[in-house]
Amino acid sequence: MNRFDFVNRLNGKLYLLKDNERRDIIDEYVGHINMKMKEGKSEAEAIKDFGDVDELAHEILSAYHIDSTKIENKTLDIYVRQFFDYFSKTAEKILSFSTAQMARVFVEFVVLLIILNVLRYPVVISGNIFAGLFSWLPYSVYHIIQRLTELLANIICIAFSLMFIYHFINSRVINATIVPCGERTDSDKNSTPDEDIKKDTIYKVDKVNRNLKGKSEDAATSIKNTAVKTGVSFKNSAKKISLNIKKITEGTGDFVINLAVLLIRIMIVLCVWIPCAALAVAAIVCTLLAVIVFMSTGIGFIGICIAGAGCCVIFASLTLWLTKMLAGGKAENA
Amino acid sequence: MNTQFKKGVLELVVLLAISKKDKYGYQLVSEVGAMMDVNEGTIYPLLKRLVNDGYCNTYLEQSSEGPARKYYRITTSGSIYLKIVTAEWLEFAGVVNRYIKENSINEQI
Repeated sequence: MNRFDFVNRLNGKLYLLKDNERRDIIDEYVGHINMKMKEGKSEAEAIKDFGDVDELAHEILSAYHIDSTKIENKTLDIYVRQFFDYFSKTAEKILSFSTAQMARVFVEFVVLLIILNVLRYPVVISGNIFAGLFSWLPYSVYHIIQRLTELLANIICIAFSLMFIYHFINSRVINATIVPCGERTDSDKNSTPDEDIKKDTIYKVDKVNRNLKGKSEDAATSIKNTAVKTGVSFKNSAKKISLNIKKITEGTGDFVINLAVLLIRIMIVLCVWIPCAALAVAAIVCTLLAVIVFMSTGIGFIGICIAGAGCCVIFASLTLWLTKMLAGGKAENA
Repeated sequence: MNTQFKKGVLELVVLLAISKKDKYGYQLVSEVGAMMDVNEGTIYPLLKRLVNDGYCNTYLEQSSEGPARKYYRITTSGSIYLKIVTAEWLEFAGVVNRYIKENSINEQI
């Protein structure tokens, strides 16, 4: 268990406490983990030393004279809360990915869906064979058995699919290491996991802002330089005027450059992301079609599967190529 | 060691640990952990309880390394409570010890 899980689970269990109290006690635990790690222990070891999270939560609640065994009927609340926490965490994590990583995870997810669909058939077929064993019974009974096995097979398939998807999200999204876009400051290292995500997004936004600012500043300074040069050519008498001009050009230059950068960004979105998104939708539709067609007729499944996979590959390679292009462009700009 | 024993006596040990000198959480946990084998996680809730019950209070102090530390300080009512609990423990332990001794002697004879 890493500290993400630990803090999240503890947070979920302590939902009865006030926000500041909860933060206070979780800060203590995170501080403890940090100290342990400074002494050379691993994060997992430090958390393991705390023992069972449920017991821990019970202890904490009993410090507030709350008997956690009496609030078991509210477990549904906790589950709902955890469910939403899980989804928001996944979404935040995905948003913090780089484009290439996002594309890779997406392609992997589509492949997983295809594999799951293929794996469905052995279960359905064995269900049919099982139902076939009762074909000697009167038709109405046989029919009911057939329906029941079908239902059972579907439930098994859905359960397994959900399990696989859950594991996929856990291993590929939540526990994935974010490829850093640049160096992080030291203060970031001391932050708690919850803050980590926030900081990450803030950091990214900051970076984009800085990029924009940098570009506009570059342009502004170049305009400034020319202004200064012209100013110098007018010699000392014109110096004061040139300074004034400089100030004005700086302001308008900023605005023009900002506008240009914004336009370029919109162009990038229009030319890059929309085709990519269209391809992605095509890939998903192909997979869905494959499932539907095979479920109804059993014809052309493999063909459509291949088409879907092809779409995925095209989408992935295109995205990777474009991100590389963009990244290269950015590097040159920097 | 029996966890029930530890639970009962942990409060006394923690209060005793901060009665001499103010300590921050991790320091306290390490000290108590070195003395008896106790789950580190359980000490923080206990500290919270002691604060809630008014036996100790907290203050933040900057440290040279890392973020500010939360120190725990025993209050007057905490000191009184500690005296009472210590006396109770000594009396209780004495009675149990005597009882054990008597019975084991009887067995040997």
